[in-house]
Amino acid sequence: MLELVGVESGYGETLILHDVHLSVCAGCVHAVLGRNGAGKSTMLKTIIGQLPTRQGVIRFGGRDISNLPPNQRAKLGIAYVPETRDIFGALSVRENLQLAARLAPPNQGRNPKGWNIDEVLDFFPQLAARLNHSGHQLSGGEQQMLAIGRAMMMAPALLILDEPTEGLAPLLIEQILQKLTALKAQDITILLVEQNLHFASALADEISLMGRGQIVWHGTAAALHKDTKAQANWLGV
Amino acid sequence: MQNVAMDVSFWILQCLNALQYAMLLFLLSVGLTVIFGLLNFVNLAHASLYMLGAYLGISLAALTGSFWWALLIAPLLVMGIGAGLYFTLIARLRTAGPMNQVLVTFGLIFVFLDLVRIGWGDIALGLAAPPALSGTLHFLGINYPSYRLFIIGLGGTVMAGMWFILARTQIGAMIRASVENTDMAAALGIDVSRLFFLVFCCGCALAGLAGVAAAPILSATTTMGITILIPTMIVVVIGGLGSLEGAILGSLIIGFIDVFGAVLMPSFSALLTYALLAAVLVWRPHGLIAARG
Ligand SMILES: Nc1ncnc2c1ncn2[C@@H]1O[C@H](COP(=O)(O)OP(=O)(O)OP(=O)(O)O)[C@@H](O)[C@H]1O
Ligand SMILES: [Mg+2]
Repeated sequence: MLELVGVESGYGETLILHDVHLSVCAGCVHAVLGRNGAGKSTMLKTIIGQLPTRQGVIRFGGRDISNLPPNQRAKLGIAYVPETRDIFGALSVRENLQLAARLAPPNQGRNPKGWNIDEVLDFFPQLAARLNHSGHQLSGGEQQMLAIGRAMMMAPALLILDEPTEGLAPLLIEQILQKLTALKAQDITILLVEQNLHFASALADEISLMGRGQIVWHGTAAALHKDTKAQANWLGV
Repeated sequence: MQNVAMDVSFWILQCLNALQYAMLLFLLSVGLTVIFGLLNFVNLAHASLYMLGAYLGISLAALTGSFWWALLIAPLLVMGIGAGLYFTLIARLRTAGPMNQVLVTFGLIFVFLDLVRIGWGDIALGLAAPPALSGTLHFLGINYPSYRLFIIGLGGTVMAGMWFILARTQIGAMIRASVENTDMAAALGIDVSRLFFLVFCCGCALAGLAGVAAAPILSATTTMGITILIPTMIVVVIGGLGSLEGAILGSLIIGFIDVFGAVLMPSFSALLTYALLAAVLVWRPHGLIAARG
């Protein structure tokens, strides 16, 4: 479904990603873990086209998307929930959702399970009372819910999540975990970046570890639990 | 008693003058501010498009024999000139940094100035208000030129129309989202460059519209662009770069300060605007209504 081959990327003069290889299979949840500053967010930004691919190829559904602008990648069905959530504060919750829905209707070759506003509210009932509030007024947890709901309004073929648990209270993390597990059961392909090993292993079919701008380990959650050396090398704090 | 009545009508008159000036400022600043908000681009030549609107309007009125045709077509021509500018210069300058943008668009002011000199000469040209609006209206104990009322109405209509589009339509939501966070808007599939181009063209058309509308009152002169550029920039800065509400509020404030300043304290009136600008910048560096948090 998504494949990175020898991808190089960075900011301005600085190169952050070197020779990144990653493969996400259709219907899988693939988690990428790694220390602060390892380059996880940089990789996601490169996948969605916010940062240019300097070297290598990004393929999505067999098609080379390395040179497509971000909006066209979104149209192919890549939805992104950034680390900072990036809810539009000047727009109401409803408008945030509607904006994403513009992409959904044709649904050709895309996930037929994209949501409409009612389904977002079924999934995140807390947002119902907030529909007409502006994005500025949401709590951190509500922003995260809206960011996920907004991404699902795009009827994505691939849902990319950057640290969805960051800064949330344990109870909320558990709630988001449940919600994402429910999404997984719907066969939606998810690429998840996480710091929280428990959260990632509860959800992921496959795990990759990232260190210093490269994928340094790849396997299942069970294999990672046994591989204490990899944990110590690439995750330990 | 006679004096009080005189006084009241005098102030009503000044209020209408201020309102009319504010509407001209609004038509200019709204394009400038939205273009800045979206493109992060300072187009100093925006006021030159206003001047071009006035001159093109005068020629078109002569050609078609109708002010109304001029009011309709001149903004479209100015929009075409804006589109040409966009493809030749502005699209390329978008990533060139503010200093280069200021230098190039400052240079453009003189290019347009000379082009107008070559095309229309150096003397002020007038434009007659259309017959239907050439008289005065009597109300609230005053006589007021109907053409000036028309400008107030035109500005108000554009204001309401823009508010409706920005606040109530999908394309308006797309624009607000792109002003706030370009990257996230693109990640949602919005073709931000096309949206920017569209908004840029509309902003240019409004500058042209302001130019034609101003011609019957102010006459077209080669300095009209430069004269209005400074107050327009001040409106944009105190209102808040990129903010429609800011442009409305800023235009009204500067319109009223300018007109009432000239009446109440003529010797300080020029200073008043700048004092206000400084005060706003100290108190709210992002303007009265900031578009970005
Ligand atoms: N906008 C930027 N400009 C320049 N360098 C950046 C920028 N954003 C991140 N970096 C650098 O790129 C490197 C990788 O950052 P990145 O955000 O991808 O890490 P991360 O793995 O997502 O970390 P975290 O877990 O803290 O989110 C870091 O060294 C960081 O300082
Ligand atoms: Mg990160």
